[in-house]
Amino acid sequence: MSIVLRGRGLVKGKAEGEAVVSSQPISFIGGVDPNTGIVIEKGHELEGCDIKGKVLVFPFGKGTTYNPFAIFAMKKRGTGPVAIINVKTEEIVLTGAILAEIPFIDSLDRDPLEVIESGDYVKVDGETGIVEVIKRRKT
Amino acid sequence: MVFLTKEEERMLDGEYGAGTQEAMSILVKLADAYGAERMIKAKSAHVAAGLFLEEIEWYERLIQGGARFRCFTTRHPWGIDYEHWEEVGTIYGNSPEIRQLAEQIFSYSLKMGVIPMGTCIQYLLGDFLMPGDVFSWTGSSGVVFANSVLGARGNMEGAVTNYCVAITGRVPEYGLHLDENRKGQVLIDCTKINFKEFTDADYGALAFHVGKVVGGDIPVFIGLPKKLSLEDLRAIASPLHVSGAVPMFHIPGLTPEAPTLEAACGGEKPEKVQVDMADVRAAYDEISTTGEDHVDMVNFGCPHLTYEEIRKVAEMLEGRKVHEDVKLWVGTSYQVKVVADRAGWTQTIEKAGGLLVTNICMGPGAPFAAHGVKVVATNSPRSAYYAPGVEHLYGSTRECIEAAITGKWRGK
Repeated sequence: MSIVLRGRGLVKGKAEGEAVVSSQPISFIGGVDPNTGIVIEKGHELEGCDIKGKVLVFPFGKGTTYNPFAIFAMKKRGTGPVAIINVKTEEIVLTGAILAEIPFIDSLDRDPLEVIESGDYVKVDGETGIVEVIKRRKT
Repeated sequence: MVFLTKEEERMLDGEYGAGTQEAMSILVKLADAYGAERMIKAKSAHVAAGLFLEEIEWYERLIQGGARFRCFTTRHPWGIDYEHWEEVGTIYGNSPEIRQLAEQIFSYSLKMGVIPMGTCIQYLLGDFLMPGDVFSWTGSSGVVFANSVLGARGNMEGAVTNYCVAITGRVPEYGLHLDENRKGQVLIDCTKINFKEFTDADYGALAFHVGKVVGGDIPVFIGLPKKLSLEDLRAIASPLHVSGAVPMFHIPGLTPEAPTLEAACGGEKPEKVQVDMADVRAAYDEISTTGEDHVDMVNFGCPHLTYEEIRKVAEMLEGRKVHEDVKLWVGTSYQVKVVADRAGWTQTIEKAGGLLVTNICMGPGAPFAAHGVKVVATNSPRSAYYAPGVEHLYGSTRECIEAAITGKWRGK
């Protein structure tokens, strides 16, 4: 089954991939290894998860001012997410997504943390703000 | 869509070059994301960079596109202590390659017209802000201080945004740029606290507790001592955005826009929260991350120390020796160090076995772990929270100095 969500596209571009969903904020500096795309923050619910090539869904960013550069560097190294969906936009992640040209969507009409589960297949259109979720298993 | 003046439109259309165009286009996206109605002129920007090789591509593109800073712009530490490179290094070590990268990344901000202060205390060293002035800075402790003590206006912005503001001289008008978002939202009643015996670390612990209590709301402090030093105010400002997401506070009678409690709250009657010494003491345990009593390192300098703080550290170290297994780092800007050199404080600190380091971040970018140290004592809740790869013990400057001398922690 597929679910269509509508939100606000803040960085253009189309991307699709498997979803990785976190209910906790993410810091790209210190939280993710930029060489592998694996989450390394101790105790984080995504610790050990690979976000490379994934559609990354999380509430908002946290951490230091250099986060945009980490997102940019990961994109260049091929270890970054292919799209980002946030519940609430926070400029550190948004400017990182702009610089890295990673499609970015917020303000969806349903809570993405509830609708999308890790492992779902997600298609993102940063121009229209439309997100299509193909559920991994029937719910 | 955000309203742009003719000149701002020309920036966006590329009439001032591709660098300014890119910077303005990023700010327009941010403005739209935040629902800002217009851009306002920034008086001051403060920029920082990471140490990613990939950043170079962006800076080169901006410079090739003719980008130059349009407002007064200062630089955060860029990670090279020119006097102690080998001993200090960066978070990624002290190889010639990493030094070259740090130097190269720094050179781009210099080309764009930065004032190379290499510190997070630019507001004490000539980045002169008055009430109502607009700034866009990296570094949460400075942002909280400037909003609350100087009455200037700025949001907590990331590194990319600050470059864009520096290049365009514009900032989207949202958040703390608007009167309605600067009202006090929670009253913090400190009247039960006896401030007579309060140490610098007690102020830090109090603010750490308050940050946790208020979350993202703006606190109004009641019952603080009438006279607060610059150092007290910094100790209050720095932890608020660490344990919480507090971009400013009010102290009625001190915060420029809050001559009275009523003015601080903008006519509203917010809830009151009582804080007492038990809260302050409990905060110590939360800030310290270990119960170890063996200390490998002691650091001061998050935020960078003031003249007076260095003078006091030197005074406490006079005629004493730091334990041979302990590193003592005192972090500040090199402008302050010039004065410390002249005064003899640097020599006193070095004679005792410590190091006065400059142009180095002692918080999120602190290179402690690269030196194999495990347990670090500090008087900064911010450093204790952010400095990566080590365990932290939190106490007053005096307690930290004792730990440096003995190698043992006897703090609270």
